[in-house]
Amino acid sequence: MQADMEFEGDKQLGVIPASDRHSKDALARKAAELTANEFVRERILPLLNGSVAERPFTASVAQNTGTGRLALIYEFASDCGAVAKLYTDELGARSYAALQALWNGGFGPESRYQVPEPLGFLADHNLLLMRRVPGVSISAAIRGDNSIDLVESCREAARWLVALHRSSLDIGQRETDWDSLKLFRMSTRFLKAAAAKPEHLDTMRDLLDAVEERILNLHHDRRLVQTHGRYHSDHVLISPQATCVIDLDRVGWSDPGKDIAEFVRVLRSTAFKNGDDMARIDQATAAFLEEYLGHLPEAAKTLGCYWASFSFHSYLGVMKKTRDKARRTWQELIDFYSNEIRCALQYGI
Amino acid sequence: MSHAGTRAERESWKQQCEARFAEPGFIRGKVEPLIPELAGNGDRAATATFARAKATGRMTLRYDFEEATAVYAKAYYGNGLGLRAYEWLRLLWKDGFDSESCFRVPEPLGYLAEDGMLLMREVHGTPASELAAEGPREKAVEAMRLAARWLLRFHQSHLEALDVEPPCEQIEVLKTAALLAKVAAQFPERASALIDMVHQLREFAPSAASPVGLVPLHGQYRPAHVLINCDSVCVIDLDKIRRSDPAKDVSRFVHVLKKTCYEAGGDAARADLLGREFVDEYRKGASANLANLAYFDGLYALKAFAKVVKSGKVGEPAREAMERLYLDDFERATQQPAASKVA
Repeated sequence: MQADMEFEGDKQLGVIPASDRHSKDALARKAAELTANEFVRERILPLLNGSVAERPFTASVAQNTGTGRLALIYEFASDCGAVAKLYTDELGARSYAALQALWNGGFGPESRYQVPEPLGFLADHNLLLMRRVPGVSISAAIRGDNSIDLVESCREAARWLVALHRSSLDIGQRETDWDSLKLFRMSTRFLKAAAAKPEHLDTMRDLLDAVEERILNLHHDRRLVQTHGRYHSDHVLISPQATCVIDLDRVGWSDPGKDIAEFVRVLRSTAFKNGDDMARIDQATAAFLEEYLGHLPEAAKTLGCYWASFSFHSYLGVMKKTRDKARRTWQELIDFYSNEIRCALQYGI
Repeated sequence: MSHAGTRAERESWKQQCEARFAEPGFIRGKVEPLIPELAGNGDRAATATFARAKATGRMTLRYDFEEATAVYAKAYYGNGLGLRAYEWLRLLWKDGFDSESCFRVPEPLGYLAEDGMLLMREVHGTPASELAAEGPREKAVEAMRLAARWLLRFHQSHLEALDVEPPCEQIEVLKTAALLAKVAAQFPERASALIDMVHQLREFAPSAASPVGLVPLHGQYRPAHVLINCDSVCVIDLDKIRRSDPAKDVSRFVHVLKKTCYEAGGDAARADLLGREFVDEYRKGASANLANLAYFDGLYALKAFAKVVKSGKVGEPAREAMERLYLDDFERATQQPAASKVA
């Protein structure tokens, strides 16, 4: 069966060559191939259950940002349809395996806390097919979609994460601290920021010292858990029946603080950049943390370290730029992230 | 690692110690009783010489006694470092690194808790750094092999209770980032080259699947700390030992060997050969310990390169030559395919 084939790099027909991995045009050509009538009928429909086989469908590109990933949507009448992700590396096969393990390991249809149903993996195209998930993303609620309540949705996101972190699953690779904290990327950002704004070097250095102190306190054999790896508001879909989390490409064994901090950082950062009401976001943050830490209080030990590190990362990202963002000035963003770092450092040891 | 206390506090401590430790009463009342052959053996003339006293919170001094052995003392400012160093030295001495063995550490004589002072018997031997820099090549090669064998034996020693070096400190990524940022701030036009180097280095960073077990790490293993006396080796400066990646000691030794040579304008080919002899000898005993060697080789070359760029002390032609040497070292370390880091 095709779904069981393993990705074998560029030798496979149909797989995007390495040189074209970041070419938007190459991906667009591939998208045209993958949304063509014949391809959908021959390769996609057999992976769905028979109920949609004879119905009309539409196929469209959901995302092509030129980052080497392509997302497609296959819609069928009176059905959620399917989502396909095209990969240009070995991550496709791994993601498919991870999704299967999660779906069969407690995050399937019987549970309130779910992942998308994996439908198949076309190794010859490096294409992963999943059933489309109903629901509204928490990001939409931040942007003003009132069909779900932001604060309650954040509590629900915390409960999904608790379920994952408590699970006995063992999927993906074990991460080192320097990977989970993105320290090499932080280093290169620090260099760029120092080169762009040498007059701010001492301030940056002081913040790094504060963050570093926490990082060096991380215990080498502390408890790691099954993590999502990209846990943020875009990826959490809320519906009355279930809470479903997508984008499981980076699942692995890591510190629970990583997922918690990523969620909080993206939630707060997105809202601040949009010029949203931060009192509402503070409430949502508090609800998320209260819910999560109420179930797994020990995670607070490393939360501060991860949250401060990720905020410092964002701070450096702003520092190296010279211009204001649409709704916030450079100085407002710098002040925001400096404050986030100080706030984060109140958590943990 | 940051120093304990402020610079002013350490400076004040240093001045007090310099006055107190040289007093005849201190030597007679505190130092002599810890030297078995001197204890209760009447008054002897003694002199104290400060060998090293910087404002780092550590100082080294030497006590010479008339017609008797000399003793080295290390004093530490605060945080119990001296007591820990004494305990580890005692354990190593008991674990076979004593005067009966070819592989030794200085004999610990005692620890003066209220003065934070560790006392050790003097060690005789020629520093491997001297043998490496000049004299017959065969003798230098033999010194490197002995230094490698001492390190192997040390890495196999059982000091289970040692603190583990925090994972992110092991790979020195943040300390290095701070250094590189300083250079980038001073010379923005060099930033992109440094960023490329960090990207290359990252490919060699130890992975979670790394097969390397943590071992007692000397932490300052350099040729000047390795004293050779015929076929015995004694290694000093063991106050930074922790459990960590063994490749760090191996890489640092070779790096300092080369750096000393480059800075002195010595024979780089000879230093290179001696470095290889050292690594080959170590590899014969524990090749698996070197899985992350390429990373540390690259790291130390990158740091040295950045320091040279930053330094205004060296003249332009000499600086360019040094930059080239460290770049070559960096390229050599990171040219190997990442898979080959598993020895």
